[in-house]
Amino acid sequence: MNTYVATGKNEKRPAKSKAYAAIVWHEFKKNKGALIGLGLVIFFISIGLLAPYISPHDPLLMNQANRLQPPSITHWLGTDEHGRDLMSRIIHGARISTTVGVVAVLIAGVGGVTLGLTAGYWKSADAIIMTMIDLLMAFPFLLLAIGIVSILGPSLTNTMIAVGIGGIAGYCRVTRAEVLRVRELEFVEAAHALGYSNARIILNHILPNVLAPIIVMVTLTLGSSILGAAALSFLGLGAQPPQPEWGFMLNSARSFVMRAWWYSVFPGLAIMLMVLGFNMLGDGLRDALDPRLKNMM
Amino acid sequence: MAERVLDVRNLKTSFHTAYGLIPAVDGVSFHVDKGETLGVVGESGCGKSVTALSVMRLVPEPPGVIEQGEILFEGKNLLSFSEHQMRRIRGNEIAMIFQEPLTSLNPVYTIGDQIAEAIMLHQGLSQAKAIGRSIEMLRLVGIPLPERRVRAYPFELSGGMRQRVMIAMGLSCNPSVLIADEPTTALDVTIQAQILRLMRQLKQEMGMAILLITHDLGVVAEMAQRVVVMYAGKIVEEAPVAFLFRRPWHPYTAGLLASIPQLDVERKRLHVIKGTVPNLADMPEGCRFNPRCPYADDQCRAYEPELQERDGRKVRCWHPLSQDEEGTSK
Repeated sequence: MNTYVATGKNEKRPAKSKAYAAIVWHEFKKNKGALIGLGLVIFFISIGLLAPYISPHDPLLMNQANRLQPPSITHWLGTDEHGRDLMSRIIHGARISTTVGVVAVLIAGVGGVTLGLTAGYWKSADAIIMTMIDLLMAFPFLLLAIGIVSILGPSLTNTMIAVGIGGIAGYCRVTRAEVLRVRELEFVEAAHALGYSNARIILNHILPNVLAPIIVMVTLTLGSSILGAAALSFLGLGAQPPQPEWGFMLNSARSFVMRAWWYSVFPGLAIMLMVLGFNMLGDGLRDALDPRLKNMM
Repeated sequence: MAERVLDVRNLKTSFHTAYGLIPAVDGVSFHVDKGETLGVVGESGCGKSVTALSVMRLVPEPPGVIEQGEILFEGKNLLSFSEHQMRRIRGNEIAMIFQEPLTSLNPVYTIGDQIAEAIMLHQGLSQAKAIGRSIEMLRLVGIPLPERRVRAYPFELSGGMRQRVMIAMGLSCNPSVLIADEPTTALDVTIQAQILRLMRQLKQEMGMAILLITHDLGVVAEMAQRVVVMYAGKIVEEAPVAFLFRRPWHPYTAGLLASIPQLDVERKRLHVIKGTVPNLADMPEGCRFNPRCPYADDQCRAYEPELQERDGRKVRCWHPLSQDEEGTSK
């Protein structure tokens, strides 16, 4: 593609100016789905943050007399097989899922972007890194995560690491592709001609110009990371009891599907709505940040 | 004699290609004196830009490689410098401005930040002082309201303004040599004239040497004291600018000059030099220009002429035009 034309359109991109933020917000507002997504994300993040103050009961308090109670005035969403309040557990689960998502994306993002910058900038590193990434991508995500967790041992921390590593490939590819485009632009050549070091050129001049698609990718992968972590917990490889993790709650609820519908429906609904929220927010952000990508992705 | 700032000797820069190692610049020698402008002219692909990049040691390696030669900057051979030493030369002692002012500035930083970055790196100034110096430079290159423009992003400026900013950036560290690679090609004609005037004026004020690379003979006539004409990786003619325009010796130079459309001469068709620049991987035998030369004979097709020096100019031709006209040879 003609890079010259592409950069001509990029001219709206300087991320610092207030006017730019206003343009993005204006674009974003027009998108109903994006607003719903933003609402959902804000909702789950706030209940996660405020969990200790807003949950009606102690999420870990067992009460065998109260096993598998259907939704009622005292237990809005019912109770589980140990008599714990389901709503309180879901509220605390929001905190766990958000943290897992953010940390996993952070691992994937930092790792992937670093590798992508290196591979895109130095041709000699490109072949090695991209072969590794291709290898990584050859494994189905869940299989890879299961493999990593079984090596490290099942725990929430290791789930974040596993999901993070699984996400590296995507970030690396997107970053590399953008670097390959940006490094050919004349301002990079001009930076060389000004005597700048490679590190300075990569961090100060290339990185800010490849950030837009990475930001979009963060919001889009947050959802899938949460889903991946929930899946690992469901398989018993992530959160360990008695942690109120949604995926693990679903696993426990399996045995009671016929007797206590609320036990599997509400945690499942929570996962679905949170992932949906992040995905809709990501889509909206993508369209608002970079109109060019609308037709590409 | 004037002080030689830049002295390039027998430079040969090649590229690894599917056809093997192909020289893009083949045994090129020239020098630039302090306060002088040397024009380097030639068609696309004749090696002018590679020459400029070689001087900066910015030829991408691989596939490029500087095979031989010396690039003496103030007496020191740049080819013996480490990459680290070279970085202190670039932007500081030898600055370069490029063809595309529209893409030569980083779109995410203000122009003030961009000029200041180079100043802070090379001169070790504090950020506040560097911004102050940026404003000074912007004023020097004729940007109105420099105190406000310093906070502008590149997209807020026109092409001509951006080229002024590039010049300000290039000159911000007081370089001894400015390499300008087609500095006005992307600009429209009135802006071209402004930028050229600015460069001439700044050269006088700051006393640097300019290596001006262009395919535009008009720009050369206006700016340069001496001209080097390149063809297919080699210098074919070198002369003071007035002599070259009045009486070109090499048929290629004559062809280039004849190709300039003239308004006062009525002509149905524009003059063209027949054929195209030969593929670097498939050079003709003998003189590289012979397949396109109206005067070529068997000697031209068999043997490559040397660059001969006479009367303070150089020409690489068996049958230089001046001698034909004056009847001293042939």
